Amino acid sequence: MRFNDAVFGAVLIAFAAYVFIAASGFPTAAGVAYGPGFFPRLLACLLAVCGLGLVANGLRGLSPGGWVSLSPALREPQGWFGIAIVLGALLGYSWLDDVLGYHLTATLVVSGFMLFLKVRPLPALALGLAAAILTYLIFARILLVPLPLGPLTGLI
Amino acid sequence: METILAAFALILDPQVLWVILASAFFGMFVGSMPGLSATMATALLVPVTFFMGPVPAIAAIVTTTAMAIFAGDIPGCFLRIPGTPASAAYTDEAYMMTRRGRGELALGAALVFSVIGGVFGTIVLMSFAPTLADFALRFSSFEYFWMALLGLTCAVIISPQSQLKGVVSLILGLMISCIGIGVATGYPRFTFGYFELTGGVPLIPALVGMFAVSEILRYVVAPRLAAPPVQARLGNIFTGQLGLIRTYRKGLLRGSVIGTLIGAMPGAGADIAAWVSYATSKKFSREPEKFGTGHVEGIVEAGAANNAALGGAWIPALVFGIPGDSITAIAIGVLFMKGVNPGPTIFMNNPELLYAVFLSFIFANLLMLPVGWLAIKSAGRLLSVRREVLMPIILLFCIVGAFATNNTVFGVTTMLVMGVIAYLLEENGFPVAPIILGLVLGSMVEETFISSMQKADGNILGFFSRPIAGTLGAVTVLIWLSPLLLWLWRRRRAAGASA
Amino acid sequence: MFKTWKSVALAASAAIGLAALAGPAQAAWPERPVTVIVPWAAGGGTDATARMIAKLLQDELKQPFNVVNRTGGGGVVGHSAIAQAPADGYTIGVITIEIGTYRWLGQSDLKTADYTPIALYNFDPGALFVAANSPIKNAKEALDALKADQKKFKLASGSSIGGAWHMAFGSLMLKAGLKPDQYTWIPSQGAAPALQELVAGGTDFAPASLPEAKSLLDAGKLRSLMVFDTKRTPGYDAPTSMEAVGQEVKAGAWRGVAGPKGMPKEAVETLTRALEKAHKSAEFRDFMTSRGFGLEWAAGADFVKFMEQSEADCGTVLKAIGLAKN
Repeated sequence: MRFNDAVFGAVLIAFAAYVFIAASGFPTAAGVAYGPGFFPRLLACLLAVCGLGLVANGLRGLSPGGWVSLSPALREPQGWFGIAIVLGALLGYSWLDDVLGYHLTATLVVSGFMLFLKVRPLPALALGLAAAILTYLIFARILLVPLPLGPLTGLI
Repeated sequence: METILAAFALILDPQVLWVILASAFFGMFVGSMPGLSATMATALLVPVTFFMGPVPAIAAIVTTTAMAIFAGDIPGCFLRIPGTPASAAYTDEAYMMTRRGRGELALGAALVFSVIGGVFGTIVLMSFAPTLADFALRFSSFEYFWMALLGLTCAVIISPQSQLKGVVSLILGLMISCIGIGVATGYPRFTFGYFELTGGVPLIPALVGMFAVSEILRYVVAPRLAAPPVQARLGNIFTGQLGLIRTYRKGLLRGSVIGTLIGAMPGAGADIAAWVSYATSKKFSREPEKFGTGHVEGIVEAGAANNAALGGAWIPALVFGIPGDSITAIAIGVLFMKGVNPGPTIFMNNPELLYAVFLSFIFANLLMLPVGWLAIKSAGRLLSVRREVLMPIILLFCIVGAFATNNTVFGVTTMLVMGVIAYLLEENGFPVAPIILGLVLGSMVEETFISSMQKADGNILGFFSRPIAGTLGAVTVLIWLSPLLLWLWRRRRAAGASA
Repeated sequence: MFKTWKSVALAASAAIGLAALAGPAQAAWPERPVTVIVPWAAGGGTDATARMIAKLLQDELKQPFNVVNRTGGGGVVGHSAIAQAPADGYTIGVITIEIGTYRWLGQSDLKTADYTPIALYNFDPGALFVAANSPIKNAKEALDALKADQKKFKLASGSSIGGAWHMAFGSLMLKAGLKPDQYTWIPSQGAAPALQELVAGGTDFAPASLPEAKSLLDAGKLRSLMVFDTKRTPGYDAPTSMEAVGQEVKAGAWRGVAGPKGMPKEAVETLTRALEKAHKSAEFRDFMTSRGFGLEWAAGADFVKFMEQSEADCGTVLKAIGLAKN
C-alpha cells in the first residue's frame, strides 16, 4: 500500500502531536531540568518538521501516483488473504501456545501456512510436525528455553 | 613463556577442545537463526557454563560469540534477514549482491574479513589492553553523548535514497526506545498499563519483525516478485578474496581499528561498530554512489569491524571488570561465579587464564574458516528448498527466537507489530535499518544527555568542557555543518569565478 | 473471537490434561518441573544466587527447577510475572528489594500482598566510594564536605534512580542529618557504569556493593569510605558506618524466594523446608561467602514482616530523596 508523501507526512505530524501531548503529561521530579517528557517531546518536534518536509515533497509532485495506491498484488484477494494468514499465525501463536502447548501450536502455524501456500496436505502436516518436534528438541531441551507444554505437561 | 605454555596446556585439554568445537557449531547455528543474537547465545550458555571450570566456560563464550557475529551475515546474504543486530547495517548490501549473482563473493568476504577483524581485535587485546582500558575509563557521560550522536549520524550517511526518509525512520526508532521505564527518569512511558511494556520494546524481536516478518509479508503478497529462489550452487567463496584484501586494505585496517576501539568503549559493542564502519566506509570510499547497489566495500570494512569489536570488548572487562558490551557483561558474571575476579589481579593471580582467553580467541577465529565454510555451504543447500516450505519454517524459528529473548509471547507480539510497521514503511520508501540504530542508541542518547545536563547544572558548554568530549563534539558539529560549509564554499568560488 | 477460540481450546486441553492426570496417582508437590523466575539478567548476582538455589532445591526435591530470566523495567517485568503466574506452586521466583519501591515510584502497583513470601536468603550491604584521586580521604571528610556545600558535588545513584544503592546512600545521608533532595543525583544504569563514571571524574561519590567494586579497588582506581552495615565485610578494609561516622546504618539489597499469592500450603511448607536445608548446607554457605554475597535468613511470617518493613523504609528514603510520588 503506497501513500503519497503528503499523506504520510500528515500522518507523521498527527502522530508527533499525539506523542508531544502524551509526553507533556509526564511528571518531572523536583529539581530536575529534563524529566521523562523532554526527550519524547524533542523527538516529536523533529518528527513534525520531517513530516512537513514530506508534505512539501508530496505536494510538489515528487512522489508518483495518487494519494493512495495499492500495489498490484493487493488488488487481488489472495494478497490480503496472505497477510491475514501471517498475522493470524502470529496472533494465534501468542494466544494459544500456553493452552495448546508448543508442539500443537507450532504444527498448526507451520502446516496452516504451508497449506495456504498450496503445499499438499500430507507433506504440509508432516513437515509442520517435524519442524515443531525439531525446534522443541533444539530450543527447549538443549537451550533450556521454557517453551510451554500445555496438555503435554508432565507427560514428556 | 611458562604462563603461555601453561595456557596452551589449559586450552589443549581434550575437554576444552571439545567445548570449543561444540561452541563453534552452536555459535554458527545461533548466529544464522534470525531471532537469536550473540548476546542471547551467551545468556543461553550461562546455565551450561554454570557447572564448568573457568577455562572451558570462557572458551565456550568466546567461540560462540565470534562464530555468531559472522554467522549473522549468512541469512542476511541469502534472505535479507540479518541473523544478529551486528549484521543489520549491511544486510541490504549483501542481499543485493546475492540477487546480482555475486553471493559467493559477499559470503566469502563476510567470512574472510570477519576472521581478519577478529584476529586483529585479539592482537590488540593481547598487546595494548591496559593502555586502552585506561583510555576507555576516561569516558564520562559527556563523551558518550557525542559518541551516540556520531552513531546516529551514520544512519543519515548510509540512507540509500531519501535522506529525509532515513531521518524519519531514525526518529521513529528513537521514539520506540522511549517506551518503558527509562533508567534516567524512572517513569513508565507509553506502557498503556501493560506490564511487559515497562521493560521497553525488546531489540531482537523488533529486529526480527522488521526484517523477517516484513519479508514474509512481502512474499505472501507477491510470491514471485519478492523472493527469487536462493542461489543454491555457490561458486568457491574464497575466489577473489585476496584481491579484495589488496584493494580495500585501508578500509580493512580502518574497520578493524574502529571496531576494536568501539568494542573497548564500555557499553558499545559489535552492533554499533558495524554501523559506524559501514558509514565511514561509504564516506571515505572512492565510489560512494555504488553503496546500496550490491557493492562489497562496506561489507569488507563493517564485517571486519563487528568481529574486531568482540576482542575489544574484553579489554575493559579483563582490566577493570567493566563490561565492554552486553556479551562481556554476562561473561564477567560467569567468571565471577567461578571465583575469578576480572581486574588487575587477574594479571597477577591467573595469568594463564588470561592467556587462555587470548588463545580461545585465536583458536575460534582460525576455526571460523572451515566451520564458516561448512555453514555457508549447508545454509545454501538448506535454504534452496522451495519457498512455500521454507517460509513457514522461517516463521517458526522467528517465533521461537522472539519468545526466547525474554521467555514470553510478548516477544512474538512485538515481532508482529514491528513487522507490519516495517512492511508499511518499506512500501513507502522508508529504510528500516535506521529504526534499529535508533532503538540501539536511543536510551544511550537520552541517558547521557540527562546525566550530562545534571552534571553541568544545565550549562550546555559542559558538553565541550573536557578534552575528549570537546574533540568529539567538534567533530560531530563539523560533520553536521559540512553540507552547509561545502555549499557556502562552492558559492564563493562560483562568485569568484564569475567576477 | 479469540476469546471463544481460547475457551474452546482451553476446554479441549483440559480434557486431554485430565485424561493424562488420571493415569499416575496424585503425588506430593513437586511432581513436575518448577519454573524459577528471575527478574534480572543472566550472569548477574541475583541470577547466580538463584541458579545455586535452584540446583540445591533440585537435588533435594528430585524435580528440575528451571531458572527463567524475565528482565526489563528495573525488575518490574519479572516481579509482575511472578505475581501473575498461576498459584499452583509450579512457578516461583526470586524477588529483590526493588519490590518495595515500585509503588512509591509510580512504576507499578505491586506490593507484598501480591506474593506468597517463602524465605529471605541474602542481604548485601551497600558501600560508598570516591575516585582514588579524590581529595576526600575518609567518610567523615565526605560527610563534612557534603554538609558544607550542597551544590558542589555530583552524587551517582549507583543503581537506577530509586534503586537499592541510591536508597542506601540516601539512608546514610538521612541518618547524618543531610537532606538528600538538596543534592544533584546523576542517574546510573547500574553499579559498573556508575563506578566507571566515578573514575572518569563525572561524579564525586558513588554507592555500590564492595564485590562490585573489587576489580577497580584492586586496580587502585577507587577508595572505599565505608560499608553500610553493622559489621565489616571480610576481605575488604572498608570501616562500618558506625566506626567511620558514628551512625549505625544497615542498608543495601536483599533477595528472597516468593511465589504468587495463594500458593498451596503443601507446596509452601515443602519449599520452605527444602530452602532452609539448602541455606544451611556447606555448599551454599561456601558459594555465597566466597563470592561476596551476605547470608540472611527469614521465612514465612518473619519474611512477610521483613518485606512490609522494607517497603515502608523504601518509602521514607524515597520521600527524602524527593522521588516518591505519594
